[in-house]
Amino acid sequence: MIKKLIVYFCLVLEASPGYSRAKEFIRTLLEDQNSHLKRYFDLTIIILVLISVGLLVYSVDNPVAPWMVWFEYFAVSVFILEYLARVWVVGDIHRELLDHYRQVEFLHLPFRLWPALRGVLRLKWEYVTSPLAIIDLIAILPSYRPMRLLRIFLLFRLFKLFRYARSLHGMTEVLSERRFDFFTLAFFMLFVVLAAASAIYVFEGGIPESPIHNLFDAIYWAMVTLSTVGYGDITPLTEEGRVVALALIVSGIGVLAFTTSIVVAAFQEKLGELREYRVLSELERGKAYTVICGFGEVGQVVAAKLQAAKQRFVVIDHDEGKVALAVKRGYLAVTGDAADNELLETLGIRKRAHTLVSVTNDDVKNVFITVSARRMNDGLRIISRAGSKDVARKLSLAGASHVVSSSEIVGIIGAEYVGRPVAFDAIYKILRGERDIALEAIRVERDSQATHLSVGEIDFPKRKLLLFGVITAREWTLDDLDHLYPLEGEFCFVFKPPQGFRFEPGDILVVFGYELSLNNFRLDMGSYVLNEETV
Amino acid sequence: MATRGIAIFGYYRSAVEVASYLRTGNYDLVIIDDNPKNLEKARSAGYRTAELDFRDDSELEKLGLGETIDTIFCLFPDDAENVFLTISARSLAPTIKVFSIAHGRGAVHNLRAAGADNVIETQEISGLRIWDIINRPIVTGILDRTLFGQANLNVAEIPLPKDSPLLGKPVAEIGIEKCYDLILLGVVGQDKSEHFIYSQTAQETITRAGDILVVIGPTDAINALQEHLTEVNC
Repeated sequence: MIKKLIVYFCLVLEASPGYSRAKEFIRTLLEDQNSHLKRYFDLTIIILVLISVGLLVYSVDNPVAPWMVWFEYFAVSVFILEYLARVWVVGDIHRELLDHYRQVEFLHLPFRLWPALRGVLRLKWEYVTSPLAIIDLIAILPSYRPMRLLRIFLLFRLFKLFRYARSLHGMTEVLSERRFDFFTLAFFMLFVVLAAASAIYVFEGGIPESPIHNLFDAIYWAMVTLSTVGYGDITPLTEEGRVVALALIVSGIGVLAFTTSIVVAAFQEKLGELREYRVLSELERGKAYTVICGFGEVGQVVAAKLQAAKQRFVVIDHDEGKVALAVKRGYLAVTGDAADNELLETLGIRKRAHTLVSVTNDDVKNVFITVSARRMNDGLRIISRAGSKDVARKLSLAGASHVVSSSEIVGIIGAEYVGRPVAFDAIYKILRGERDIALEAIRVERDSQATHLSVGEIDFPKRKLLLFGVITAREWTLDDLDHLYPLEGEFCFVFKPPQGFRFEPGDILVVFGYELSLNNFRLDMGSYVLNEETV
Repeated sequence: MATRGIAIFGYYRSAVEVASYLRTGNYDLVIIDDNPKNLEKARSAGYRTAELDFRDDSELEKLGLGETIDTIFCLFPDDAENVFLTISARSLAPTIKVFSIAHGRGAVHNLRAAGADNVIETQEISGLRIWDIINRPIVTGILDRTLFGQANLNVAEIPLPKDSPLLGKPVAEIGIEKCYDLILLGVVGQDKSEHFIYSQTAQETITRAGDILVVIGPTDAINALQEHLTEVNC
């Protein structure tokens, strides 16, 4: 009967959209790292913690006002609610129960509660016994029992802050991975302290002049000596006591060295991960960026160019040495396999990145990276490197927006070099920026002076400019213009437009000229430097 | 015009591309390698091949470097081999044109020192290309489709013959744009240093015989200009 009622209740919960929505909301509030709500919630709790600890310190030698008591009640209720909510969102009891119920129904077995609950309850228990949850609990407990000693645990609320600061969280994670080492150390310390404490107690506990009156005094002395703090309020009086002290001092140095080395080693090992943390948080703020997969020669050239143009980018390479090189040059870099979807995702391929450059030395990997990046983001610009023509075809199929193959470029340049070395050299150097002339794209803005002006009226020769052509989206036919070259979409390129050609907003002029005259022209046209990224 | 002899050393990835681009031109192409497997591939792709050891000068001489062959491509994956080949070719035929690929910055300098006329660093060139795509997709796209692509728009170099009426004019006043569907990007002077003069600023520079006009335009317009060079009058 009860079982039926429970199952019925679970069914009601499952059917209720409000319940699952509420649970999802709470889950976002408490656990979704990317949610704004969580940030506000965290901030609220941090403020509550700081005020309540502040009040505790204040109340030591100041009268307690009634509002303070009320505030304390309020804070504690928030903490309790938070604690319960956190336990609540771990796993779904009703779903587990129903799953089990349906299985059992299907197999015509008797329905028993316990096996159904075991899994989810274990999950909850694991959460409750995790360090952060224990801290949460301890932060609440002292309010129930006004014991003097327990009041100190109110300070544990400060530890609650760990939960809300990401970097602190990373630190505790690093240290908790060294749990075994710390346990060994603690065990050793416990042994030394107890041995030394009992020894000193045996030797000096009975001497009336000695400040050691009980075992607690002995432990206190042993701990103070072991830690090399040595207050000196308790000192051994007998020969035997001093021998104990000597042994304790030597082991104290050992314990300190051991502790330091554990902590240092833990951080050393996790240095890469901590850096990754920093890189990720740096990427999260600010504008969209480029992701460069592979920091070989090609990646290095691209990175250097991006850096010089002050564009944001992040480098991924699986080779520690290459990442170290990138870091040395001041780039954001992450060690890892770019073929790892998770890594790409954490680097924001889905949202924050605008370009992915896949230039590892491995064609297979480049194809894989291209496929996964395209799957994650349709709008992403993916530039991929191919070792050969076959691979180039595969990369295009995989969704690369541009494929770059060094052998193909060598082929083109080689052929041009044989056919027309001088002309090609001239064009190539202009494009490379090795001449003082540049080829630039300038867009005609809506309110620009160029709108509705004709080629003849702008008088390019006077401006020392050479109009190569115009990219336009208007509908032209070959009857209107002799040299029309179709581009993607509705765009087409008009080579050497006739004198009577009139510019319309949205047209893009492709112009040769000196940097100075190009800038001047751009100003006159009221057009900003065409930010090609936005096109 | 006599067909030019071009020798491609090392039939690897780059060579496959270079050969396929050169195949359409009027060249006498020969692929040279010391690896029979590579030669087999080249043969099956339909190229004339020759198996010889480029380390041996007498064999290179037999090939006719500097006589029937005026340009060589050093496309071995090993920089040292390219340097060696460049030096051998340079010593056998001082006037031959040498085009080489390099893998790494240091090798570029070595190859230039060895006497290569044009050195392409394969990795860097890819990096620069990617940067162009990122930095100015529009210009890069246009050039890919027109000048370097299949479209009927080319960049061409036209040497001025001795009897051309265009001689003796300031570069800025050549004015061939008015009569032909071309744009004149500039002129490369043929004096000691091959310097490039941008057409829109060269008021003072006077054209001389042997100067090369760098023009951009459709193939028919380029051909028309080339034919009319001696009688052109704009």
